[in-house]
Amino acid sequence: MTQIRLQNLTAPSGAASELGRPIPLWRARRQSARNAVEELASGALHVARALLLRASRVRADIAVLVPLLMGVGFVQATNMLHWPDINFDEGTYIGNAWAVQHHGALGFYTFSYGHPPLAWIAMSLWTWVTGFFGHIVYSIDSERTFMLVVSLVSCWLVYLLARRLRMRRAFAAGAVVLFALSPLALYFHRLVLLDNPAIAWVLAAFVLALSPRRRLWAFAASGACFAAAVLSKETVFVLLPALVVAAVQNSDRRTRRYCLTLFISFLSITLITYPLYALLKGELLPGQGHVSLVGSIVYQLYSRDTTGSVLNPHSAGHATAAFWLQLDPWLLVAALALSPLALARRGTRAVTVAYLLQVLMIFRAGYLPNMYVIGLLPFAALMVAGTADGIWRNLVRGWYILRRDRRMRRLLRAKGKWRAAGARASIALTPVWALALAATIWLASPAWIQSDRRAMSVQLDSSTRAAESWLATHVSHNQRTLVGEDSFWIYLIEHGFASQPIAGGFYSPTVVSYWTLDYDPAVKHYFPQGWREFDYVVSTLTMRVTAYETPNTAQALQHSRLVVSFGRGADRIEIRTINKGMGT
Amino acid sequence: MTFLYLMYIAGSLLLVLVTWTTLVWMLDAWRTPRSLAETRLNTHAAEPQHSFSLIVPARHEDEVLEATLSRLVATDHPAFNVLVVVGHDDEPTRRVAQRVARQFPKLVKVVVDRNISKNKPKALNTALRHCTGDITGVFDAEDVVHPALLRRIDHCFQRTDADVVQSGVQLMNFRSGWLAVRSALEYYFWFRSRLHFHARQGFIPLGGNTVFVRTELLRQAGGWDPNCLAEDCELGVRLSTLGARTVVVYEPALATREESPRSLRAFVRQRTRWNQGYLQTLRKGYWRSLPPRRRLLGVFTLAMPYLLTLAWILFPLAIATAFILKAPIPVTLVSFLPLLPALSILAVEIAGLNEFARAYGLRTSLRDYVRLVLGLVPYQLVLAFAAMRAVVRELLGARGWEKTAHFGAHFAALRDGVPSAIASLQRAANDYGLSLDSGARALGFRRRHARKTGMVGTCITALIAVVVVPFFITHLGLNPFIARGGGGKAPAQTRPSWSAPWSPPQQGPWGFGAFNTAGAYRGAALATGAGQSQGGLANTYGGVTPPPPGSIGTLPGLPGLPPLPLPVPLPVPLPVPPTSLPPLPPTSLPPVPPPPAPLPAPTPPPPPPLPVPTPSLPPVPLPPPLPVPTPSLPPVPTLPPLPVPTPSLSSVPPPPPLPVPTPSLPPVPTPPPPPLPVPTPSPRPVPTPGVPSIG
Repeated sequence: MTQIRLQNLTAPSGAASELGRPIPLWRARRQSARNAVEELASGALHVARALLLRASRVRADIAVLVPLLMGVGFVQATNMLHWPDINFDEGTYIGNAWAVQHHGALGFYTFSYGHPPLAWIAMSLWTWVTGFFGHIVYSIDSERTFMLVVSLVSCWLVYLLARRLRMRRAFAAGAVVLFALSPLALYFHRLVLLDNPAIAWVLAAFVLALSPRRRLWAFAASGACFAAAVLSKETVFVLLPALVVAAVQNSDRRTRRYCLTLFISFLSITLITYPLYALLKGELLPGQGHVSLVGSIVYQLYSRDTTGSVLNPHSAGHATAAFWLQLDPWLLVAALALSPLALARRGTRAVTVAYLLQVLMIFRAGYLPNMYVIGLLPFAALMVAGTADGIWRNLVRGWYILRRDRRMRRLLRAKGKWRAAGARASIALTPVWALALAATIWLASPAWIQSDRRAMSVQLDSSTRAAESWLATHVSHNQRTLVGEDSFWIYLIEHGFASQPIAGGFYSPTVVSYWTLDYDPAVKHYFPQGWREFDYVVSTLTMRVTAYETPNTAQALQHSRLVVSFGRGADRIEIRTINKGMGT
Repeated sequence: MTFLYLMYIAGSLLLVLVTWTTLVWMLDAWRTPRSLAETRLNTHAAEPQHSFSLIVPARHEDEVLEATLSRLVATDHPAFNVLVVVGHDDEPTRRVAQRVARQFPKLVKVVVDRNISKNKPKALNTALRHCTGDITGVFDAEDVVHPALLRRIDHCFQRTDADVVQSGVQLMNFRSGWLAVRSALEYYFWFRSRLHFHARQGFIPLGGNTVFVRTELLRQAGGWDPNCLAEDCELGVRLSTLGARTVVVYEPALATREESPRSLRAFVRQRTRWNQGYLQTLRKGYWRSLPPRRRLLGVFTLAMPYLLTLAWILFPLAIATAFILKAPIPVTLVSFLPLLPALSILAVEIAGLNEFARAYGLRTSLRDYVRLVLGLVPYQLVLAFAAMRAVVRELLGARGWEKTAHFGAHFAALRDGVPSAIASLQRAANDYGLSLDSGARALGFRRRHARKTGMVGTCITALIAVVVVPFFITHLGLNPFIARGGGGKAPAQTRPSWSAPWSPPQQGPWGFGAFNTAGAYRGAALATGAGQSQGGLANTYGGVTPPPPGSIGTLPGLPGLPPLPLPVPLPVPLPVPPTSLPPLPPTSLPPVPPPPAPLPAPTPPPPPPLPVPTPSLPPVPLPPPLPVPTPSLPPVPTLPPLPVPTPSLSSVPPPPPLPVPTPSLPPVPTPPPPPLPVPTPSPRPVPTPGVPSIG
């Protein structure tokens, strides 16, 4: 026996297998080449087999997920270019993405470390890649398509996360529906905002931290994903404790040490690239004559004008929160109401922590941006669906008890006296919860259906688009225009207006974003006469509201005459010609 | 400039690759909780079924040996014995060993190593001949071995059909300095985690002790390479290429405990020796016969110390130059990329120190962590120094090898860039019946002096070896091999003077000298270069030691490669050798040993198929055990490298040139007759990558 084994053992499969005589080199090479081919072939077979096996295991999930994503995608995509109207920030981010691709810069004006740049780097990557399949320019259209993709990826991640939190497939699908079809979601997921990719990264981090086999490298990747999220939008850093809760919950006692070590080291080392970049540019610390990362963070955290407390009915923060609740009161409030239950359940604890942390941040009297709610949505959806899953489970148990099923009784007895009593109580209360949930769904769904239908049909952007095309056709390329929204800037640049790098870090001498005329030193230097150097001003709601902060623009508006106006009411768009001779 | 930047980026990515693989492999055991559970020894009790022979080579270890042995004999296993190998010139150690052997006559045997130049593999090979257990284990003289270890290892062999089992080794004195804490952790990650990866992949550089191999396999593979400086690594690689199944088990309670080198100097020497051994193993090229993926792993593993060194030197350099050159920011950022795995390694080490201390019931203080972190850079510098030192030593030894490689086979003797002057010195010493030391001393060649001159001396010697010796050899017909090949006179050929490496001896931490590697390739070079054209030399390693009993002739590898030992089973089982050899001083040796009789029928070559006992040998006096000191036999050291286990020791007039079985090794180009019905496309015998360890 041993002899036989040893014989096998001593005949290696390599080139030197033929005993007793030397093998010519060419034969050895051929043999090893053959070995290589065999190995490759067997490797490919192995991979294919593994994929098939895995596919069969996740077949049911795929069967749920594919139609779900198709349906959600259909609702999201329909009318996505026309509702909601173009947001001010969208144009800025698209302009930044344009600068990344065309000039290797992080912004189309001086990059002031307002937000980290990963999200618009991703946008430029998307536009560059899709550019291979046809002529695609930087526009609201192309980037909203990107947001659709990001949203679908997020939906997939929410489903995965729900499954990893041990929800039944139906409830996981419910989480996706809540996440994707809430009117809030339709509004914000369609906008070109940094929060959307950032939340996708966060969800990926959660999914990885909840790896079912507790893989070490999943934790490392989770840390890296979270860093990517923070590098997309710095506000998601708030979610770190929740992610740590998830990681600690999921890691095994024996390997936890290394899992968390890698998690933290990958997170911090990936994150450190941003300050490192600032350091290399000499813009880490505040100083005379340059922007700085630290200065920007300090500004965001402390010196920026606050939006006031949400509880103060006259504050901007209150208006923002009211706007959210006007869009959809149901999801956010239901999640908040269910949070004690969700916190008590181990499965939904981490997501509840994530949700509550963000809610606490809302009540902090700081700057509350409109798009902050994006971070709440997936966690609210997961909390509601997860609690519903728990309720359903208890209903099933109650049914067993009612039927005096022997297994159930044994289960309850085995838990110990007090815990059994608690379980009984919660099971007894279950119908109440179930009824409340059903009632909420009953009440909420008509409102949702109505607003979703509006989102799929109403077109709000007609005046903006008409103004854009008017500018492109009526304004000569050597006339100078001061624009109120960056989406006009990117539109005009992509329609043939001059763009070249100008000393100091901006890219167009003829189309200028109004804010920079007062705040970007490079622009101020290039236009020493200020508003007098411009021929047109495109006045939008934002411009008119913030004119008190931008004296040049205020002067331009004052010394101009209306040429054409698009739309009516407060958010009309006016194109005005500037009378350079007037003023003092 | 763009080209420069591209080079930059490529270099940084290489560094990322090196540090990344280091990180991944050092964490291999903790991939998942399940994979961690698989690295443990099975605690299930089982009846022992194997017998063990434990070799404990000891040299100048009289202080610790007794304690080690008395712990070792307390092992809780019904069938084992301990073979203590002591040098014939190391009186104190031998006395200690014999005292213990008298105490435990059934358990402990003393084997005396009579090799003129001593090293660990030679000692192991000497003891291997006396191994009676079906599994051979190796321990160092200062090891603290757990009494329950053998039972578990036995169980492991039963459960996994392993050929080799490597159990954990751990340096314990991590609090004694910054070097100690780092090297203790290095051991921890190596045995706790990384070796499991290598075992799973089927390419494993074994550790130097607490390694258990099936004795039969070990004999057939030819034992340890007497000239390799990292004989453990070399054996592991060789067995891996032969398809042996290695299982690595680790359990803190059962890990063998050791001490790290006490001084920086000793540490550097130890690392130099390892690195050089790795380099030698790399250059021996066994990995070339592996299938592609494992081949890549093999090269990468063996070259790793150097790559890491390169990484740690290049990495700060890259960052610094990026700043100085004012490279574009993306390029500079890329040069920072290796920071991710490198700093992660540091973080993991901090976590590992904590776990290691807990696992071994030790206490850590903040100072240890500070040492660990602050020691990172100096440690890497020390490692880099050791690696470079190893390379320089290897290169100096190898200069001749490289230069003469173009000349042809008859220069093969020089390929190793021998300090041949020293070899001839040794030859003289042998002839006059002196030990090398005394010979050297007689010629004014002081050890201390040699150590001090170190590098310079080696350079000069290498130069002499390259220039002068070939002249003598070619023009004066002194080359014993040429003489043999021509069938002419070769009076000195039975004297293996060419093969005794000697170098400025250095006291390695292991207790033996560190050896000049120059000699390490000698055997290999001879066997490939000279061997192929001259009809083969007897022993792969061509050391002073006679071939291990199992191996007959050589198995030539690829052209240009050293041969693999031809594994042929023993025709008869080895009889149990006597406890110890009579310590005959070399002076009393008869100059020429009784030569072996010619083989009865060395006609058309093929050696008998592997497992079958040779039927064609003359029946009556089946080969007696080679090294056994029958009274008529001379003691070991002066035995010629016998190619074949001599069938009988009849008094036949001086033999024809030694390597008799010429037909077995035809010159390279001619297609030889198919020697063996080897199943060519044979599937790999033991699917090593499959099951890594006990479930």
